[in-house]
Amino acid sequence: MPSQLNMNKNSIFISISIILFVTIKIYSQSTKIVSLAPSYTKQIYTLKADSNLIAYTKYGQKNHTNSEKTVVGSVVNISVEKIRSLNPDLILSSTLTRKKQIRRLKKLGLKVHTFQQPQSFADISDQFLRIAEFVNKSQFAQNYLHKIKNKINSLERKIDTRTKTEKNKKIFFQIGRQPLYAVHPNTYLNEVINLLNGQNIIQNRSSGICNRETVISKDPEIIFIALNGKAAELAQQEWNDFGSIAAVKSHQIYQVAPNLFNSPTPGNFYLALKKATKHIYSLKFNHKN
Amino acid sequence: MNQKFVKTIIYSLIALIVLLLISLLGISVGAENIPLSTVIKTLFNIENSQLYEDIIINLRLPRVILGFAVGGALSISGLLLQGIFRNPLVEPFTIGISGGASVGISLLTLLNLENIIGFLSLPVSGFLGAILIILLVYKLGIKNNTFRITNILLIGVMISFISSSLVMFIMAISKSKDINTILFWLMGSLEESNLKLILITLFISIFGLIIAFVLSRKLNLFSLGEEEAKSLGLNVERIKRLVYLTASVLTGFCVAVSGVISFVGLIIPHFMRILLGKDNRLLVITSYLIGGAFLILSDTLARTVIAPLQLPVGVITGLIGGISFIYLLNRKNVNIFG
Repeated sequence: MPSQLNMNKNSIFISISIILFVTIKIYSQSTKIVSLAPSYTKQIYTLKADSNLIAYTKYGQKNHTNSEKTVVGSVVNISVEKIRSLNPDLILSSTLTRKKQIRRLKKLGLKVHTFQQPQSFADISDQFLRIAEFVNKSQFAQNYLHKIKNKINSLERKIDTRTKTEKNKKIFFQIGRQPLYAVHPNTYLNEVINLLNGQNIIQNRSSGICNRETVISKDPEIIFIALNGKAAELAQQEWNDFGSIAAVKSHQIYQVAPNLFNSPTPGNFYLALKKATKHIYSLKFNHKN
Repeated sequence: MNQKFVKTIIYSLIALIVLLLISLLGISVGAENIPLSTVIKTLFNIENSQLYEDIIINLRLPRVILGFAVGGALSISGLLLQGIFRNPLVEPFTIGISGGASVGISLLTLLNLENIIGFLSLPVSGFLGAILIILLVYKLGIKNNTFRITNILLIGVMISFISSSLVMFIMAISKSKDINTILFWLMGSLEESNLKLILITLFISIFGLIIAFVLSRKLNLFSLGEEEAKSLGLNVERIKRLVYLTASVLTGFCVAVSGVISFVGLIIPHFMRILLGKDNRLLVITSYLIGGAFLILSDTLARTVIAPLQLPVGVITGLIGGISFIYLLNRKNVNIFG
């Protein structure tokens, strides 16, 4: 009888050990991910899950030191062949990647998750949490988002305090030069404008294409330009030619880093808001002081 | 044996060998380095690696087949149109077909019908747009039961301008992701994942070759001039219409599947004319084979030169085709239609 009991104990112990071993094995096998947009790459790094990332698209490696990852093209131009050769478990794609190429990847039996373009901070947060799920970092993501939300709320309170007595500022946020393209409603950058207690002069539109006459007639008090290098310089010069615009008169034309403003991640959203706040209100504070 | 027949056979065989060699190159070269021996083993199913099978059989081979079908079809369309228009600048896209397809694709994208109807809606809408323009140009080009060649050409050019304005208008009111879809399509690409569509294109392309070959002898008579051809008993009106419709439908189908790939239909027929003379029977077959080989080669270069990024295939067709054509034209010092 005691020997039978011992045998049972042993078998229970072995079973538990096997279950534990398998569980550990499963969790230690990380999902191999290919990111097809710099913002997803950045979020994976934020989640400290870069060991899961095996490849990304060009420009995705900026701010990251690991150059051992494979580059599989750019956001809009990927190499299906290269991706297939890496045999990833998951591919994160945006709506900017060619649909034909996405279909091809799926046909090869690869798992592709396509994120829609986020239209608000809530969308960005959902996207972040989804990526965190893929890399088993949900708790970390929740905590991180909590911190970011707190920072945004604190910034919002500061903005509210400063702008209590004023009417909303009219803002024009340029993100393209030829054609002239601006932030329009239903975009996360429009939410940044709202949080700044600003008023986007581009309203009731589904596209951001606009013309100079409209901008001049709407007379923005602040102009943000999120363009690369020379294009930003040229855009600023072009606006400076129109001395009637309030933003030109008060020298409130600001060039902001396109990487920060055009790459939707929770961290970037907060930093973009902070940067814009600093630009707008530091001038006013200085003036008051 | 007839000397011309022997010449046709010999040159066609040479063109076929060139095509096969370039096809092998297209299958062997890509963003991923795979040894030639592995490529051949995979092709003949001697090596069973899922990875190599995916890359060689499922990715590269369909591109090569589509390149052959589209390149061949565009070349014979160009040859046929240059034949009836007797104008060296005419190519399949001059007569507005690509414009019609572009408007079809742009409208579909703007109205977001692709997500509702399905992915085949893109080639279908492109083809419908092309067919609409073909019929419109055809209708406008006929007066007093005469198919007026010069008018057709001018109407086609005007429709191209109108279409390009319409596409720009649609792009101006589209969302950025839709603009991408339209732009990518306009750039042209052999990246097609639907094997059935590729095989249908191949079938239509070969069917077009057969019709073009049947028409080629009559096109030889047409090259003497309309009056001469009439006096030799040729039903000129019927030939003009048949040639126009064959070339247009072939082009419309190619554009619908692979987007706008220019230069192939312009350069290849001239290239073959400079090398082999003016006999359309020989030109139809060799242009078809060399056109296919040229597009496969261009696509191979487009996807490898700056890999993993890919160039639009039209960039390569324009560069290689244009430069080698000018070189050959100056070297041989010939007058193409003279």
